[in-house]
Amino acid sequence: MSDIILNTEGVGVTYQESIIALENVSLNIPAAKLTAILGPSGCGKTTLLKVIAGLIEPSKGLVKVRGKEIIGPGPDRALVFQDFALLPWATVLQNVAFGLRARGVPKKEREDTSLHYIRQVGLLGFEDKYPHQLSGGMRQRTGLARALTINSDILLMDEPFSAVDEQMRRKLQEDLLHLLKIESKTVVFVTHSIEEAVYLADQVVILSGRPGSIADIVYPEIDRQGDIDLIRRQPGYIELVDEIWSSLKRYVE
Amino acid sequence: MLNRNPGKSKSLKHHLWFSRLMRTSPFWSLVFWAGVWELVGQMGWMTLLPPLSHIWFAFTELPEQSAFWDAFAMTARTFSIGLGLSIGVGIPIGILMGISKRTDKILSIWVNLFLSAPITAVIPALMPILGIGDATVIATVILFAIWVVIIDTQAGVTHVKDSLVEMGRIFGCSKLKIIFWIVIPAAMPEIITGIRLSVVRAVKGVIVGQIVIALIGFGGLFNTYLSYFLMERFWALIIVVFVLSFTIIGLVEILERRIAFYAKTR
Repeated sequence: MSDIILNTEGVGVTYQESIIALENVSLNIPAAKLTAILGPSGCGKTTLLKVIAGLIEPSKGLVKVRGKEIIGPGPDRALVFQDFALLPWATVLQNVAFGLRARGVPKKEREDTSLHYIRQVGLLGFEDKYPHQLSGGMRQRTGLARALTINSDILLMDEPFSAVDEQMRRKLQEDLLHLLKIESKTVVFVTHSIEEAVYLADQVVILSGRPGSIADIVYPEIDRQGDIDLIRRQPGYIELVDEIWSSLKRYVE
Repeated sequence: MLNRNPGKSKSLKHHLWFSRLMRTSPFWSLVFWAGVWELVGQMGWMTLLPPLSHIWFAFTELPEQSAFWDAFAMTARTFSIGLGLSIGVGIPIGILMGISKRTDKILSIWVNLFLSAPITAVIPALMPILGIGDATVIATVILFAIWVVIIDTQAGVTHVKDSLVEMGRIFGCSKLKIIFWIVIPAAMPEIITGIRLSVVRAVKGVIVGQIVIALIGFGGLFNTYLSYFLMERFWALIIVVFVLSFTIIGLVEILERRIAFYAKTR
């Protein structure tokens, strides 16, 4: 087992003193691996991701990055948003460069870095377009490029492919795997799709329904080194999807 | 049988011709009613309503009077100061109310109260405090114009998507950077609408203020003309005031359309 880069210890989140969103979540995130957080809607998986991102302060417990407790968001963690969170009045280039601009990186340098990542996510030629001129898939590529520019070790993704259509989702998933072969990142992503979790993740954390707590953790031992197209045909893929579904079924009403 | 009622069909035809003319161009509608006015004025039934041609003559004479230019300068001065303060103070207050629930709770009842209150009734109370001069007119303009800026800015700020603000936090923006780089640009369409509405209200405020005080600016002139029965000049001044407000509001609408791409891209 590889090193643990991030872990949560007994994290609990309570809203308005009575609504328990998360309860006693202790989780280890291995470095340079993909971890999926899977669960029925409303189980608090996005809340858990936002706690890890530092956007929500947990009511109980804590989050550590490399053994050090986090206080709020930090440069070691970048987030890709479900609704893309792009500035509508800014071009793709300006949006991608936003994180660097916030850090005070000079214009020339931040544009060079941004163009590099725009090329990497396959958006070269679209850098002067505005978000409303792009398709959903391209918007999310912009969001991904923006997250990559700040070169953080941990990439957090909140249902990144849920707002795009099925074909685009598959394409984005494949592109993400290709990208992660070049850029070594620890990825934590939230999803409600069992197939997506098994397809992408080395570790799948299954959350139970309200209040969200860890129901199970499975490790899909799927070989992603070879041809990405063959992942869904590997022995064990279908069985694992079925296995997760049967353990998840009881939380879904 | 077919032509049993030729008179009716003729009048119908006449009616159609008339209404089409009124519809095709607002200019012809204006010309028509100006003609009616001229005729009625020429009849001399009412001293209050002189013929339009006489008013036009008085209109061309207005620029020769120093009293007119004094009133014009005062109106321009109080209008710009009052509107500038309304926008300059209204936007920060609106932003503050949009980001802080506590400020919103304290202020929103007052803002809403003044937004719908008949401000004209308050002006006589302002005179003893601020005196008869620029200050009272400026205060009137502000009382007319500021509330809509505050309300619209606040609405714009509260409607900024949470994820955009979260995005700012993720990339390490300070509170100030989040406000200037994310919140204000995102609220811009509502802020611009607020500014446009406040210009409309400020135009009303600057005229109403002067008329209620009745001693200064255009209000003073109106009063003088009325008490000496200088109806031509009175009407000429009315036209000046109408044309001025129409022009200013028209300009602001053009400006708003230029910045409207913001709204489209949201």
